[in-house]
Amino acid sequence: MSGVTRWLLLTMAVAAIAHLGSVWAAPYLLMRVATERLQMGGEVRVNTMQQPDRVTEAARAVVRPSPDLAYSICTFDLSQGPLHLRAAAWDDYMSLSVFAANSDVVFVRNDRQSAGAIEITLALDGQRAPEGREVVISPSQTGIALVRRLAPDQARFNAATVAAAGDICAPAS
Amino acid sequence: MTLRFLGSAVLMGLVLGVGAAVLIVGRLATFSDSSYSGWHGNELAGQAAADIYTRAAIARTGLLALTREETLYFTRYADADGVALNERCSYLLEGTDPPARWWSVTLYAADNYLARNGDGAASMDQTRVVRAEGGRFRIWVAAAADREPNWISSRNAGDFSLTLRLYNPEPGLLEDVHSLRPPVIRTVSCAAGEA
Repeated sequence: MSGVTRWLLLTMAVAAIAHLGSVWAAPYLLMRVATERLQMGGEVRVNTMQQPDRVTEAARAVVRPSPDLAYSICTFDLSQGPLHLRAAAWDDYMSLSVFAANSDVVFVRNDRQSAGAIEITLALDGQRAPEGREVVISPSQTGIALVRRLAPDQARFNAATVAAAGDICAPAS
Repeated sequence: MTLRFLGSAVLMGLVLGVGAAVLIVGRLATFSDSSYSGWHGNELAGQAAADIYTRAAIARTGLLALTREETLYFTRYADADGVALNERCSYLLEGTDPPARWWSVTLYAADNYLARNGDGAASMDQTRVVRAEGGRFRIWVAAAADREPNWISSRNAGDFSLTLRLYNPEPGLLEDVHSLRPPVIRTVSCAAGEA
């Protein structure tokens, strides 16, 4: 095998590994960037439900936000134990969703599938969760939980903000 | 093997590998992406079964997207003739309510965020759209409002895209997403001297 052939084979092997590795890593990186933006440089703590302002052109934390939805967002870290997630009742479309560190949907449930509030305990496999609530196992230690409420005008957004005060992202006890 | 031999091969490999990844994820549609009358959607969004290219592409343009049973997302970048959407032109988006609990159409600039124009008219949705007799609606997509009661502003949007969200799609649609008859967008006029 000539030197040029060996060089080409090595280059192609490195290229293939680098290519697949960077495509695989991209969602993790983008989730991490979104998490850091949502935490606003440490201003918003992890495992805390926050209610961002109504989506306008100033919203730059997560791509393609919907101005017709009111969001509650929690960047979570399960390293200290399971979390209690709650989306308080809303009289129109509402969902609670959980996204793993690679952006996969771990859990989603909407108001039609669950009367009143939607509540779960989010835990890592092997963690002991308190009884009484449905337990959802997260494949990753970190991720993002999101509540969406249909609120296409300012009045509905204001009402959603009141409802969102009942949302919870906190250590399960 | 010399250090120079190894170093140059590794460096070239990294450049080629990462470069191809950026190009594919950043610019091309994913392999599992489908066209629904010109609206692009990916039914694997959010799913663990998604391939790495699908997951990466959706994370870039639609991070935190829900799975298909909850929401179907479709995005289009061109008018009915295949010409890229741009703020220089005015468009009419016409259709009827898709089979879903709730829908919306939102305009995004090329950076995947709402266009910075201060108009507060980035979207139109099922609850606000004004329909004609028979349930058809017409949405004026342009840099300035017009006589049409429904307006989405494209001012300062440059090359833009429209995202159609269908929340809680009906079972029949989920069985065959290609049965969807999405709104049609036609170019009405363009600024003088522009195509």
